[in-house]
Amino acid sequence: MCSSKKGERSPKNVNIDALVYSKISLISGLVMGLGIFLVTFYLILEVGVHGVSGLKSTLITNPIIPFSLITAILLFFAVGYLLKLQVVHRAAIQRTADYYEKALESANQGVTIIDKDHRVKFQNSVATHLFGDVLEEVCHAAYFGSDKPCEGCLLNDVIDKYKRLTLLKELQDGTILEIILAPFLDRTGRVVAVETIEDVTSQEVTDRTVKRFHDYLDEILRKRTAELAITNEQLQKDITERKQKEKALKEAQELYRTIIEAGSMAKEGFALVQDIDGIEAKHVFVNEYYCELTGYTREELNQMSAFDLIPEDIREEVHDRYIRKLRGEDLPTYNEFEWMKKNGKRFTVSLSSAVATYQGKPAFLYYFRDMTEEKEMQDMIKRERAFFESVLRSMNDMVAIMDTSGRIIEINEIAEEKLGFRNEEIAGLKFNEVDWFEEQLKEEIEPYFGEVSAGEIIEAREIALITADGRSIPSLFSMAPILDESSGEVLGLIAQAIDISKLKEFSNELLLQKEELLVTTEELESSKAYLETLIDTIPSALFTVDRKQNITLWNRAAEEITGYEKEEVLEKNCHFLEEECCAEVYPLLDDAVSKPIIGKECTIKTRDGRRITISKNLSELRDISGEIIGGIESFVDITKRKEAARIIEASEAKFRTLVENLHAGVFRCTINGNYIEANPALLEILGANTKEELMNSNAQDVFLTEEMNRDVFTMLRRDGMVRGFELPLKKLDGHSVIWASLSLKLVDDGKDKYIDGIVEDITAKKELQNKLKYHAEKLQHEVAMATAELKADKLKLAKAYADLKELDELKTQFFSNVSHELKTPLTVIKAHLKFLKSGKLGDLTARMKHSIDVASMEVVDLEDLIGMILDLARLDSGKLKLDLVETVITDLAEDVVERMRKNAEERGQKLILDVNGEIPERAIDPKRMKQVLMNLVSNSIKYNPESTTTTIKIYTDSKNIIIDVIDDGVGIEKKDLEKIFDRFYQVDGSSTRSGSGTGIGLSIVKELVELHGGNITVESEVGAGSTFRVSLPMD
Amino acid sequence: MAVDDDPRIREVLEMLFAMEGIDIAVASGGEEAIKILEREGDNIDLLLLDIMMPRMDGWDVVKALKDRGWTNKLLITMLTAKGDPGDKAMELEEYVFDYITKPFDPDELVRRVKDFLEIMDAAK
Repeated sequence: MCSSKKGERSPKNVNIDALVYSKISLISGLVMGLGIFLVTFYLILEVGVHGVSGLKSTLITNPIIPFSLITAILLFFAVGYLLKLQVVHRAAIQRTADYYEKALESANQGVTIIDKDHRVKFQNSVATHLFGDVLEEVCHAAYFGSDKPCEGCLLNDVIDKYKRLTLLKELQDGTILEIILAPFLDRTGRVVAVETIEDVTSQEVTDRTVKRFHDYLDEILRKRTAELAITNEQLQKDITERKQKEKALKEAQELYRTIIEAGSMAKEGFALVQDIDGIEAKHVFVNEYYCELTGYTREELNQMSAFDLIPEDIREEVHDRYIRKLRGEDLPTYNEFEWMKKNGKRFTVSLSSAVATYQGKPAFLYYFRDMTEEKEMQDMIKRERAFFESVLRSMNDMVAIMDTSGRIIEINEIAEEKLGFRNEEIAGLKFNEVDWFEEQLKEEIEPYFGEVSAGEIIEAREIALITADGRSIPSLFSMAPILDESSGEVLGLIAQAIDISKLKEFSNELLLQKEELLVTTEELESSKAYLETLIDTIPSALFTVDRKQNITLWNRAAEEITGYEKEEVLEKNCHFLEEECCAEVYPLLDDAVSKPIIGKECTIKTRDGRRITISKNLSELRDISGEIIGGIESFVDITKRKEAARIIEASEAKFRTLVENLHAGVFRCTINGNYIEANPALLEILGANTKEELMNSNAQDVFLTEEMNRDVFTMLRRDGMVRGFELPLKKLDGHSVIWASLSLKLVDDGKDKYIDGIVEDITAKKELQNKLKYHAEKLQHEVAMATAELKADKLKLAKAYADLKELDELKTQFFSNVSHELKTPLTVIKAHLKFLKSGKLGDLTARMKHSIDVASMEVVDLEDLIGMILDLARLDSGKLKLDLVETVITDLAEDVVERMRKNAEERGQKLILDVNGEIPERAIDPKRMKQVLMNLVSNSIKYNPESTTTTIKIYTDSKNIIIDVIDDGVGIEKKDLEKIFDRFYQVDGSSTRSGSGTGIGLSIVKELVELHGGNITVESEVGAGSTFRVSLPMD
Repeated sequence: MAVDDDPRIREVLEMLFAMEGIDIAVASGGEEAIKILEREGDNIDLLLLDIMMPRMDGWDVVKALKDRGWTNKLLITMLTAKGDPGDKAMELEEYVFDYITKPFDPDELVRRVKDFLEIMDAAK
């Protein structure tokens, strides 16, 4: 702001000064110029009239002239001085302006100067920052993006009416600008507007917030005032209501007083006490009965605290309750305690109390009742009850006391204990409702209640009681009435149950024992029979003797082996079998040396006199107490086994012989390799001189290396055997090596492990094998050599083939190149012929024209030929690609006929198109297919004489589209028919045709048809014409 | 303008178009063609451009024209002896209006050139 004011004043002064100076200097200049002009004019005039001398005289005579001159010179200096002043001033002005501009530049506010046209003439950096560079732009458009000078009209006020304006402008981005506009004269003295712009966004926002807060406070104040008014009104209303209520209350109090006094009639004391100083419960009101109860008069009581009536020993406790109740604790409203009358006598009262509000303060209402009599009564009941209970308790049986309707009053401890039901749970329930009976029993017992109530006694019966946890207690149950001794009236019922479970258990046990005994006897008998059967079925002979060696038991096997029947030998001394046999039993029978004998072999005599070998076991026989009562002997007939052993021995010997004479080495050794047995062949194979030499060596010595040994054993352990394993072995001498086939087997006889082995010397076989191998390898080598040669040949052939192929490709390429090279000159010739023919190069005679025509035709033929050669080249190189389009062949044929008809007619021939039926579209290369048809048709025309008819016939069979090109011309000879489609084959046609050919047209036709997936055939008969048939499959 | 290294073809083309009253310039190669175009490019509507030429082939010429931004002032028609326009064609094909197979039929060539010139006239 400050700087803007300075800027306003200073340029104005400077500018006015400059204006004055410039005007003065201008006028002075003019005056001086005029003076000099006048003087000069005068002098010239003088010189002209009077000459130079005249001038001199004139100057002297006329003093005005020197004066004028002097004046002019003075003026000249004056003007010079003024001009200098002006320059100095200008510089000063410029400096000042620069200074102010710099000052403005450094201002914190944005400063702009706007001219009359509202264009921005100056802006400092802050303004630039705020609005961007808008120099020379119309300010409203630049600042506010508006075309209309809405704000600019204010500018008019500033500039035209010298007004100073302050306004706030909020931009779209929320920036709030304070803009101060002031009039100002610029350097040239024009009035412009100076604008200072300050970003007051934050200040403005704060202002607005403060204002909002003030508004908010105002709003609250307004609301509060309104509320207060309402409250005041409400208060007035409340006071009225309260007065009404007080009145009603008074009426109610009167009513209650009456009611309370009525309590006296019902022998209920009533007191209302109120706390006067926090702990005392002063009587506020008492009724008459209360006075009666306490023995005080109402006046006395009104002076007393309720606590005065309570004996000192419990006063504290009651006071405590009173205080707790006062605090609002939830305590029972009813309780009993002792009271003291005026005369000091204690008596029991029951009291119920309530807290109420009396005259706005908490008060206690008490109702009292004299409990003395009730108390006495209760005590009596208690005493009786205690007696009763003690009686109940003293009974060892379960007892339940019921009232006459059968409701349980109590059960005794025994019952509680045994049955697990508590008095608290069941007291008051009907006896028969408690689940200590089964449902069925409940029904049975139900009638008892009636009977017992009538004074009958139910005799004991056995029932099952059920405990709370579900056990069953067998009991003897009885029921009896409880009678009033004096009146004989039934007071209640008593049920008694005696636990007989112990008894029951005991009897059950007895019963069980009896049964067990019975079973044991039976078992014993059956087991005896079982044992006898068992003994009889044992395959060994078995007999027992008593201490005198008399036989007491003889089983069936004994009968069978010896031939003696049981009846014959029982009670006999066992010596009859063989003396020494039984003698063995003797030492057995002596307890001290008793030792069983197992597997003793001896001979006995059978009944039929044979002697048989037996193997027997002997053992003493003891009774339960351990006393030896005899002996037991079992034996088996081993005569046959003996015989078998002999046979085995013989067979073993045979085997041995076999093994001994075996060509292969056979041995058995321990796992560690110690020979147990070995046959002579092994000796020989391993080069042992004596058997001892071998037996003293180790089987593992034969392996050449440790590794080999390990491998063989690994195999053996893994598979249990090694079969025909071929390996080199070391002879016993430690260096000779033989090839052997080794078979090993791990043998486990249950006690020890062995290795049985067979060693076969295969050295000779191996040598043979090696020889064979050598020969085979040699052969293989020879074959390989031969193969290599063959391969080399093949390579040569391949190269030759490649060369040939290359040559072929060269040929194809050559054809292609030559054709191209031919085509260009042809094109040129054709073009020139055309130029000639057009007549534009000069007039032509008829003969010339003819020559040109012939040349033109030949050019066309040559073009066709070259085209064909090119096609051939393309076909060979596989570069001929069909451009397939779905086409109706008929259209193509029409085209061909159209083009060829003229040719035919020129030769006096006919060309006909004959289409049979609907011909479907097919994918073909139209250009190529047309070529095929053209070729066939032109051949027909070319090679046939006048009046030949050529027909293109198109039709379909089930699978193909068929195009026949039929002529009734000269026909083709049979020998030519076969080769007619071969490349370069020419029909030797001196007699049959007038044209000539290259032998490639038809071969191209054939290949093109085949490229289309079709085929071409020809049928012809000399003199009858030819038919070329193209078949194209329809798919 | 016709560009072809074969003088016979150039002569034929000159005569052919002269007879039809069509102004034609000829160039023996790409370099000469570009020189002529630089000189009097405004008078040239159509370029008949042989592909197979020594040193600078037809496609090189098209590329040079493209680089100079002349391709939109001219209709370029390639004279091709082969059916296959070659690998270079791939990226430059969009600048080529048509192909005429060599050897051309003089009548056919004249007909097509007339068509092209009509198109250019219409475009102007």
